[in-house]
Amino acid sequence: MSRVIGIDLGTTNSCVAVVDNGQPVVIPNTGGYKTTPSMFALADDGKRLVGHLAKRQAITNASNTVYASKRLIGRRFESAEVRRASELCPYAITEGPNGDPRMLLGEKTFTCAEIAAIILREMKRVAQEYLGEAIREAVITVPAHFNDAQRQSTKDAGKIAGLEVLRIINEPTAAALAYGFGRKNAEETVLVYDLGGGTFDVSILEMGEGVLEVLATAGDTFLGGEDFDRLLVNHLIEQFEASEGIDLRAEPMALQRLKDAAEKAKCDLSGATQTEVNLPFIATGGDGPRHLSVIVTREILERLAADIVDRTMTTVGLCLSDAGLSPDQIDQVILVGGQSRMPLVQERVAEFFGKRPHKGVNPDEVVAIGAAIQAEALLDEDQNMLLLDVTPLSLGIGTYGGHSAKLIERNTTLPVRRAHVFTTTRDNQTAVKIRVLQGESDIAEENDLLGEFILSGIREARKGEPEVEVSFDIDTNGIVSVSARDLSTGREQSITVNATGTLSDDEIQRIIDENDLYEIQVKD
Amino acid sequence: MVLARQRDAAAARVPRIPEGADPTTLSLTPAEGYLLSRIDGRTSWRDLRQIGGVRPEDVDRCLERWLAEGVVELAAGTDSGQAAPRPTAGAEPPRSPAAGTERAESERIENRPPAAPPTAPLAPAPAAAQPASPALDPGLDLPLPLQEKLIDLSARLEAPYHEILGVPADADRKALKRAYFGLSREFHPDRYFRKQLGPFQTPLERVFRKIVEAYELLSDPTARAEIERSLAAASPQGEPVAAVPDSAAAGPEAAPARPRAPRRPHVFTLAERMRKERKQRAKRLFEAGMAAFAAERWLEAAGGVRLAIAFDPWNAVYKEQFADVQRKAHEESARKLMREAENALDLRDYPAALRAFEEALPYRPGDVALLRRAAQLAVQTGGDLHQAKEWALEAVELEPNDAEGHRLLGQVYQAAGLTANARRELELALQLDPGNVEVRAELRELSGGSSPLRWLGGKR
Ligand SMILES: Nc1ncnc2c1ncn2[C@@H]1O[C@H](COP(=O)(O)OP(=O)(O)OP(=O)(O)O)[C@@H](O)[C@H]1O
Ligand SMILES: [Mg+2]
Repeated sequence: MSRVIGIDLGTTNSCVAVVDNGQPVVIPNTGGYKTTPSMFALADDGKRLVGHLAKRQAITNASNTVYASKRLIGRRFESAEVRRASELCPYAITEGPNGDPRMLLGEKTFTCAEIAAIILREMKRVAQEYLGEAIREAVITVPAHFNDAQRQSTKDAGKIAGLEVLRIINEPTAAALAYGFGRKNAEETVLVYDLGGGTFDVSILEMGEGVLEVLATAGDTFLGGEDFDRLLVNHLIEQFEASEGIDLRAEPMALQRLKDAAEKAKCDLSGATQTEVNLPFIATGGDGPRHLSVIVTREILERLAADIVDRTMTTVGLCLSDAGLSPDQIDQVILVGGQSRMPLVQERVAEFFGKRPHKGVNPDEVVAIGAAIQAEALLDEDQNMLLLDVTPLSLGIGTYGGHSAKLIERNTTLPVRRAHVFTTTRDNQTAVKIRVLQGESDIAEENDLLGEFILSGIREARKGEPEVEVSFDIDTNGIVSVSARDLSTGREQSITVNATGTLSDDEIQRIIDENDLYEIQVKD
Repeated sequence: MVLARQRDAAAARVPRIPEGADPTTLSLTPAEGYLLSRIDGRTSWRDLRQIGGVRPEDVDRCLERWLAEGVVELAAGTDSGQAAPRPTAGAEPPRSPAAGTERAESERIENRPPAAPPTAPLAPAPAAAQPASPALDPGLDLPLPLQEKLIDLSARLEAPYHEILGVPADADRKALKRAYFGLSREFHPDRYFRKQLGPFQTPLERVFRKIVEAYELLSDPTARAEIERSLAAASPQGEPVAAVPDSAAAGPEAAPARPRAPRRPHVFTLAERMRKERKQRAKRLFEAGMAAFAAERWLEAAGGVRLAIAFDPWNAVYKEQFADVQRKAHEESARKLMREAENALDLRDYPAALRAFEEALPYRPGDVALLRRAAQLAVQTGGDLHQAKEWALEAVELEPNDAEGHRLLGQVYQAAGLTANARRELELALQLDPGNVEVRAELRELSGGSSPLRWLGGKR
C-alpha cells in the first residue's frame, strides 16, 4: 500500500509531511525548502508556474499571479470578504456561474478549488519525488473555522489534484496532534494559538492516553499575517502620498512591490527593532523617477497591529469560556503559524496566561506533521492516537420570521447526528423548503446559507399533520449532510446540500480532465 | 431509521438447517428442541414467533444464537448489509431498575466462547431479549469479543448513563473522562477506518454517539443533577442515588484545582428537552394508534404506532405491539390491493393491475400464487420482464418441485429472448410432469422457431 501524506494547505505557504518508520518528517521541495509558497502564475507563454517559481516572477507578472486564494475558497462572490480581497489583490476576480469567485488569468478563469488543486498537486509532486513512489491519498488541513462550503471546496480540490482525501482536519488540532505525538502518557490541557497568513484559530484540547479531545474552538477565517502586511502597506502608501503627492494604489506593480517589502520588513522586525524599506523607482512623478526609502521601527508596526492582536486575544477568551476553563487551567500554550513569531503576539499571550508559550514546535511545519500523524493513526492499527474533534460552527435551519433554530451547537463532538421532525403550515401542502444555516446568529440572514432544499411528495393532509423527519449529520471532516424521511409513508429522500459556491460533480470532472494535461507522471 | 423496514425484511426471512449439519449433537432444552423441530426451511422467522409454546422474544434470542453459531442459516440474501436478522417486535427490556439482571445477562454473553454449544436454557430468562443485533461474524475486521461487546451495548443503549460509561453513579469528572477516553479508543469509528464491519457499522456508530452523549451529559453539573433526580425517582426503593458534584469530590487527587464552569450547557438542555418532547409525542401517537386498533382501523393503527416508534425508538412496549398491528395492517393492505387488482383486470387496465400486484407482494411474502399471477401478467402484457423474472424465480425457489413454476419461468425467459434458459426451464417442467402436452408443444416450438438472433441472446 502506498503511503499517505499530510498536507498543510496554507494561505501563504504549504507544507507536506509523511510518517516514515514511525517518525514524522517534513518533506523538502527540490529547492530544499520545507515550505512552498501557495502561489500560482500563468506566464506570458502560457506556462503554469507554482510555488517559488511563481513567487519569483510575481512582481513582473502581478496580474497573472494568484496568492492567498485560500481566503476566497468556498465563499460567495457577493460576500464582504471577497469584495475586500478584490480591492487589494492585483489579479481580477470575477463571478462564476454558481455565484462563486473565480480568478481571471490571461483568458482563462480558474475556480478557487482549481487553484488549490494546483498547489496540492505540487505538494503531491514534491512528496512523490522525495519518496520515489506514487502518492494517491492525503489528509489535508483547513482552518478550524472553515464552514461546510470551504471544507467541501477543499475536498474537491484534493479530488481535482488526483488525491483521495482521507480526512479533512483542523489546523490547530493537527498542531496539537504533533505536540501530543510522543507524549502519549501526558495528561494535559493545551491551547493552540494559530496565527497564519490568512486565518486565526484557537483550540483547547484535553490529552490523555493517546486521546486528544477538542473541548472548544474559536477563530476568524479572515484574520492573519496578510492583514499585518496590509496595514503596513497602507502606512507606507500614506507616507509616500504625504511626502511625494503620489498615490501608489493605482499601480498594480508598485502595490505588489510594496506588499513584498512590507512583509519582509514585518518579518525583519520580529528580530530587529528597526528596518529599512527601500524601493527605488517605485513611481514616476512629473519630473522623473521617485524612490521610496523609509525606516520602519518595531514600535510603528506594533502600534499599527495592536488592534488585530487584541482581537486575537478576545477570541482566546471566548474559546476559554466555551471550554469552561480559566487561563491558569491551561497547562501548555502552543504557538503555531508564522505570524505568531511576532514579539508582540508572544508578549500578549505570555501576559494573558501568566506563562511563556511552549517552545518545542516549529510553527511552520507542525500542522503538516499533525496531518501526517492523523493519516497514520487512521491506517495503522498500532498507532494508538485518537482524535475527538468538534464542529466549530452551530448548524441550524431557517424558521418562520427569518430566525434560525439551532439543531447542533458549536463545539459538539463529531461525528454527530440530530434528527428533527417538521410539519406543514398549510392544508394539503405537499412540499416544504428547508434552509440549512451555519453560524451563531439567531437571525437567519447573518449565518452562512449552506444550501436549501425542497422536500416534496408529502402526502396531502391538514396542516400540522404530516411528519417529516430531517436528520442532520456532520461527519468527522466537518462536512454536513442531510436526509429526510416522511414518517407516515416511510419514504426517504436524500439531499445533497450543494452549498452555494461549490462545484458540481460534472464541473469537478471537467476540471480534472483539463488539468490532467499538466499532470507529471511518476513511475511506480 | 430505515431500521423498521429492514427488520420487516428480516422477519420475512426463512431460517433453515444447513445441509450436512446435525443438530442432534447439540444439547438443548426441551423448549429449544421443540423450536428446532419447527425449522423446516419454509416457516418464516415471523411465523416461528407465532407458533406458541415458546415466547416470541425467546424465539428471537434462540434463533440469533443459532445463527451466530451456524446451527441455522437464513434463506436468501442473509448477508444484506445492515438487515439485522431480527423481526419487528424487538422485545427490549423495559427500562427496569433490574440493572442487576441486565448485567448478569451481559456477562453471560461476554463469557461465552463464540463456538460453544447453545446450552443456555430458554425459559427462565425473565428480562426478555435484546433489540436488533447482528450475528457474530469472524470474517469481519472486528474482533469477536468486540462484536459481542457491541451487541451487548446496543442492547443497553437506554441504560442509565453511568452504566453506559461503566462507572459508578457517583464517579467524579476524572473517572468519567478516563472511562470516556477508554471507550472512545474502543468504539470511535476512526478506529475502524476502512475496515469491514458489515452489519456492525450502524451499531458501532450508534454506540459511540451514545457514549458521547453519556459523557457530555454527566460532565455537565446541571444535566447530571437532573439525571440523578430522575434515576432516583425511577428506582423502586425510592432511595436517592448518591449525587456527588465533582467539585465536592473528596480525596487529594480527585478534586480539580477549582470547580469548572458548566461545559457547553446549552447543548444539553436542548437535547433533554427535545427528548422529553419526543417521548410525550410518541405516547400520544401510540394511544391514538391503539384506539384505532381497537376499532379495527388497522392502517391507521399501524401508522400511529410506527410514528410512536419513530419518536421513541427504544420503547419496548411500542415495538411489541407493532408486530400485531402491522400484521393486521399488512393483511388489510394486501386485501385492498388485491381488490384493486381484480377491478383493474375487469377493466382491462393491465398496468394498473400489475402495479397493484406488485404493491401487494411485500405484504404477502412467500405467496406463490400471487408471484405467479404477477409474472404471468407481466409476460402477457409486455410489462417489465426483469421484474417478471424475479417473481417467477422466487416462485420456483419457494416451490422447486412444481412443474408450473418452471414452465412460467421458461415463458418469461422466452419472452425475454433467453432461449437457452427457457429451454432449460421447460425441460425441467417436463421432467417433473412428463405428461404435460402443453409444455411439450412449447418446447418443440422453441426448438423450431428460434431465429439466430434469439439464439445469441440465449447464449449470453
Ligand atoms: N518572523 C516572522 N515574523 C512575523 N511574521 C512572520 C514571520 N515569518 C512569517 N511570518 C508571517 O506568517 C505568515 C505565514 O504564516 P504561515 O506560513 O504559518 O501561514 P499559512 O499556513 O500559509 O496560512 P494559514 O494557516 O492562515 O492558512 C505570513 O503572513 C508571514 O508574513
Ligand atoms: Mg497555517
